[in-house]
Amino acid sequence: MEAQNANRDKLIVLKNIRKSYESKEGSILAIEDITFEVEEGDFVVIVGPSGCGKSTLLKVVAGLLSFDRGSIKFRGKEISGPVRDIGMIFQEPALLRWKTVIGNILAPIELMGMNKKEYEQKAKELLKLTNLGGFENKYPSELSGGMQQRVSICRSLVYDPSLLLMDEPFGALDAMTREKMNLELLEIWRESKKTILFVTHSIPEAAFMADSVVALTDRPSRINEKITIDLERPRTLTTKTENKYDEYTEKLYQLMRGEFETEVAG
Amino acid sequence: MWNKLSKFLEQIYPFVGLLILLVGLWQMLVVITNIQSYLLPSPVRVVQALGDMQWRWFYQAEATSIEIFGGFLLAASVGILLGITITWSNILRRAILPMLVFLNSLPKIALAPLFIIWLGYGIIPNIVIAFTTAFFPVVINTAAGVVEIDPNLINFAKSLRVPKWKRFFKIRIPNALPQIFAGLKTSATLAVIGAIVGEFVASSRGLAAVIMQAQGILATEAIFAALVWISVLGLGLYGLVALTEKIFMPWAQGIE
Ligand SMILES: Nc1ncnc2c1ncn2[C@@H]1O[C@H](COP(=O)(O)OP(=O)(O)OP(=O)(O)O)[C@@H](O)[C@H]1O
Ligand SMILES: [Mg+2]
Repeated sequence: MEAQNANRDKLIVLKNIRKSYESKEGSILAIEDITFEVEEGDFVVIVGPSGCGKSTLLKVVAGLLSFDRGSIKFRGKEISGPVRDIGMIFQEPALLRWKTVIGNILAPIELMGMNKKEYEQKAKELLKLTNLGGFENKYPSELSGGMQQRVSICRSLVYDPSLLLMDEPFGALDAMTREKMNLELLEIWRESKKTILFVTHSIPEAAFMADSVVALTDRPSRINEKITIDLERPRTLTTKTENKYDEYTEKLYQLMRGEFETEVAG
Repeated sequence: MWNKLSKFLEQIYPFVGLLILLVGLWQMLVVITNIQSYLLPSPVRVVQALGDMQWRWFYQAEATSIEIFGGFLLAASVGILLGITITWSNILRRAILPMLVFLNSLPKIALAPLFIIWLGYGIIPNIVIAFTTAFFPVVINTAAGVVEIDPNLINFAKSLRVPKWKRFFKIRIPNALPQIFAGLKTSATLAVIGAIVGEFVASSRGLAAVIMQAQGILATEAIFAALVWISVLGLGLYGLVALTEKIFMPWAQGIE
C-alpha cells in the first residue's frame, strides 16, 4: 500500500538503464547504469561532460532508441517505444523548412491525423506566449536561431504532452538570448504545468532552472549525484544574486571538475 | 507590379547588353572580313532565314518540342517514381540500383540506333532517346534527396508515432524537393540533347533534320536559325521547370 502511494506521483521511473552502441570497432558503452525518477510537475535538469551520453539518455526515454537492460515506466506502465504523451525538443530546432511557422506548429496535429482547424486558435496563443506574434506566415529560413527554437517549443506544446524532453535546446544561442529563453521557458512551464526533463552543459543554467539536478559521470555514464535545488519560485534574474544559488553552482562545478580530473588522470 | 518589372529588368539587362554586344561584334566581323556566307552568315542573314518559311519552322519545331517535352515528362515521372521506389524498399534497391549504375555507365547516345531499329523512324524513338538521356539525374537526385535528411526530422515524427509510409510522404519527400528539382533541371538540358541526337541518327522531320538538310546545301544561315530555335525550346523547358519549382517550393529563396 505504502509503496503504491510512493509511486503515485512519479511520472517517469528509469531503472538500471544500460545502453551501448554497436559500431565497426565493436560496441561502445554509452550508459552504464542509470536509475532515477521524475515526479509530475518537476523541472529536472541533467548535466554531464560532453559525450557522456545525455542525448542518448533522452532518446532512450523518448523511445527513439532501444536499450540493453533496465526498464522505463511512464505513469506506472512499462514502455518500449515512443509515447505521444512525451514530447521531444532537439538541440537543433529540426523544423520542416517547407512549412511556415504556423504550419510547423500544427505539423504534429497534421501528422497524427487530427483536425488542424481545431488547433489553430491554440497555435496562435502559443505564438503570442513565445513572442512570435506576426511571424506565423514566415518560413524557418527567415527566422533567427532563437526564434526557430521557440517555434520548435510551440510545436511540442500544441499537442499537450505531459512530459517534455529538451536536449540542450538553447545550446546554440548567445548568452543574452539564452537567459531570455530560460525565463520564457520557466514561464511556459509554470503556466502549462508540464514536467520537464532538460539536458544542458551549462551549470548556471542547470542551477537556475531546476528543481533537482542529476549530474552524470563521464562515459559510460552513471549518476554521480542528485542535488535538490531549493530556490524560491518563480525564479527571476535576482535569483542569481542569492548566496544559495552560488553555493549550488559551486557544488556542481566541483562535481564536474572532479569528473574532468579523473578524465585527465585516466 | 511596376516594381517587379523594374526588378526583372535590373536582373536581365547585363545579359541582354552582353548579347547585343556579341551579336554586334559578329555582324561587324562578317562585314569587315567579307567572309563567305556559307562559312559564317551574318546575324542579319540568320534572322532572314528565321523568317523564311521555306524551312517550315513551326512544323519542324513542333516535332522537336514533342520529343523534348515528351522525353522530359517521361524522364521526370519514371525518374521520380524509381528514385522513390529504390529508397522505400531495400530489396528493390538492391535489385534496381546496380542495374541503373550499369545502364548509366553506357553512353546513352550509342543506344540511339537500337531504338531506331526497334521503334522505326519518327517521333517515338526520339522521345525514347530523349528519355534515356534525361532520366538518370532525376533518379539519382530523388533517391539522394529522400535519403539525406536530418535524422531529428525523422525522430520528431517517430516521437509522434507517425507510421513509416506517412513519414515518407509527409517528411522525406517534401524534404527531397530541392534535390528533385536540381535533378529535373539537369534532365531538362539532357532531354534537348537526346532529342537532337535522335534526329541526327535518323529522322526526316525536326530541327536537327533541318540542320542536316541545310548542311547538304551549305545553307549555313539555316543551321544557325535552327540552333536559335533549339535554344528557345531548351530555355522554354528550363523556364517551365524553374517556374514549377517556385510554385512547389515558395519557401526556398535561392539565387535567381
Ligand atoms: N549513433 C551512434 N553510434 C555509435 N556511437 C554513438 C552514437 N551516438 C552516440 N554515440 C556515442 O555515445 C556517446 C554518448 O553520445 P551522446 O550524444 O549521448 O553524448 P552527449 O552527452 O549528448 O554529448 P554532448 O554533450 O556533446 O551532446 C558518445 O561517446 C558517442 O560517441
Ligand atoms: Mg548531446
